[in-house]
Parts: sequence; structure tokens; C-alpha cells
Amino acid sequence: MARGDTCGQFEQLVLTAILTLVEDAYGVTIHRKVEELSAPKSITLGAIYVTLDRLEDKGFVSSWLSDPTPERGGRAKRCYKVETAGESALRESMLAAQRMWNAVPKRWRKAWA
Amino acid sequence: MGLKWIIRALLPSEVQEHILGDLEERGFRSSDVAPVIGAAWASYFHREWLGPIPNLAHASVEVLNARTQQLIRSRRAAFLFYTGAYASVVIVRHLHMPVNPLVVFLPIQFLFRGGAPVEPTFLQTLFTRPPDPMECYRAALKASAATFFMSGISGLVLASSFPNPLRGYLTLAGFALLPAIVYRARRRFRELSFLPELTKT
Repeated sequence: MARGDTCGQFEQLVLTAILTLVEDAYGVTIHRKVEELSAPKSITLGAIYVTLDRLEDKGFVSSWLSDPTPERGGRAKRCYKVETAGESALRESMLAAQRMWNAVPKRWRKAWA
Repeated sequence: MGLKWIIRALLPSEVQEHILGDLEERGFRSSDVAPVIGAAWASYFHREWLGPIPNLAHASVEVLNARTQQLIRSRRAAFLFYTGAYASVVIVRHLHMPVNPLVVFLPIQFLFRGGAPVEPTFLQTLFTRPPDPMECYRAALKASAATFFMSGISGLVLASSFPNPLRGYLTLAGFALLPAIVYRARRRFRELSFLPELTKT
């Protein structure tokens, strides 16, 4: 696998959140979804921005500014969508986790479940 | 209104719009503001320094162009600052003695004409993806070598313009910084050596 194709655990959470939110993925909604996915851990909004920028730099997501809305004081949202590279990186991470899970002996799996 | 104005002033201009909107939507919670400002600047400086180098493989053309422009702007600003500093040192040094204007003028011209046009052009070459991966690799290596060469020459010219005790300190500082510079250069070349592999995708 080429360098830059992999993503860390937090990046996986953010990518999953964007995939789940489909059309409505922007800072606030992504943060809410990531907090939901990583409960009970609390996540700062700042961590989400840094990760989104990093994912964009890696080419895993792309972003655009939407039209301004009144509930945001007439300010635009930066919306995100997962690119093909992001999808494959996430799939690869999921498969790795799956392989890891399958490698764990059955008795431990039962105890952890 | 006051709080919004302060937060706006504390954020990098490129992200003000959407971050302020997000904060407004969440009701300007105090627990959000400090981490968001820190994160926005951390991300901004990271992009300023690294540019799109590690991301050549997957980034879209728009993202690459935006990062390239951002990096060129920051390099240009740094270059102007550097030239200004150089000019002030040269001018102050020659204020109290009869000066041939060329002594002041030529090094500045050298830096402007030698450095300014080269830097953005090479950066553009470095970060724009040509169709042929090998061409991309060669261009990136050339660009990197030229950037380091220009930085070295400019540094030497600047150091030589300082009066003697300061020149000594600068040389010492240069030697002290050498391992960091070598590390950075090696890292840059290592990143570039991945290019042919990355551009296959």
C-alpha cells in the first residue's frame, strides 16, 4: 500500500460520520456524529477541524462552501464528502479490524463481546 | 457582537466564515472557542509549511492548486520579509561611510531576480501533477534541489553582510542548525522518492 493511503482511528470515525451524514456533513453535524460514535469519550470541535483538514490534504475528502443560512448568522457551511480514496482507505481499515477480530481466539471473543 | 468580533480577529481569514458559522450554530460555547482557535491555527501552519507534498497521490486538482497558491503566498511573504531585513542590514552598515550604491543595490537585485521568480515557478512545478509519473519525479527532484541551493546561497549572502561579531554568531547558529536542516532535507527527499509509486494510482 502506498504511503498516505492509511488512516488512523480518529480519521476512521470522521470518515464514517461523513459517510453516514451524506448530504448534510459539515463541522457541527460531523462533530455530533463523531461524539455519538465515540461515546462516552467527548471530542472537541477543534479536533474535528484539524482532522477534516488532514483528510482533505490526503485527498480522502473534498469540501465546498454552501449558501449562507440565517440560523448561522448569514454564514456559509463548509460541507464535506468522502472521495474514492477515502472510501478505499476506510474499507481497508475495516477489513484490517475484521482480520484482527478473526485472529482473536474464540474464548476471548466471547469474554469481550 | 464584541465576542464575535474578537473570535473573528483571532481566526485565520481563510476559515473565518464557516468556523464562525459553526460556533454561532452551537451558541458560542466557551468550551468550543479556545480549542477551535488553536486547531485552526495549528492546521493553518501545518498547511503553510508542508503544502501538498505528502498528498500528491489522491488530492484533487482543486485541492492541489489551492495548497500550491497558499504555499506560494507564504513563501513570497517570507521572501519579502527576508529581503527587507537584508536591505536594512546592508543600508545600516553603509550609512556612515561613502558607499557605491551598487554595493547596496546589486545583492538586493540578486535576491529579487534570482530568488523571487525561481521560487514560485519551482513550487508550481513541484506541486502540479504532470501526466507522466517519471516527469513528475524528475521535476520534483530538480525543484527540491534548486530550492535548497537557492536557500543556501541566500543564507550565505545574508550572513556575509553582517558585521564581524554577528557573523561569527550566525555561523555558530548555522552549525547548530545544520543537523535540523539535514534532517529536513533528507525527509523532503524521502517524501519525494515516493512520488513515482504514488502517482501510479
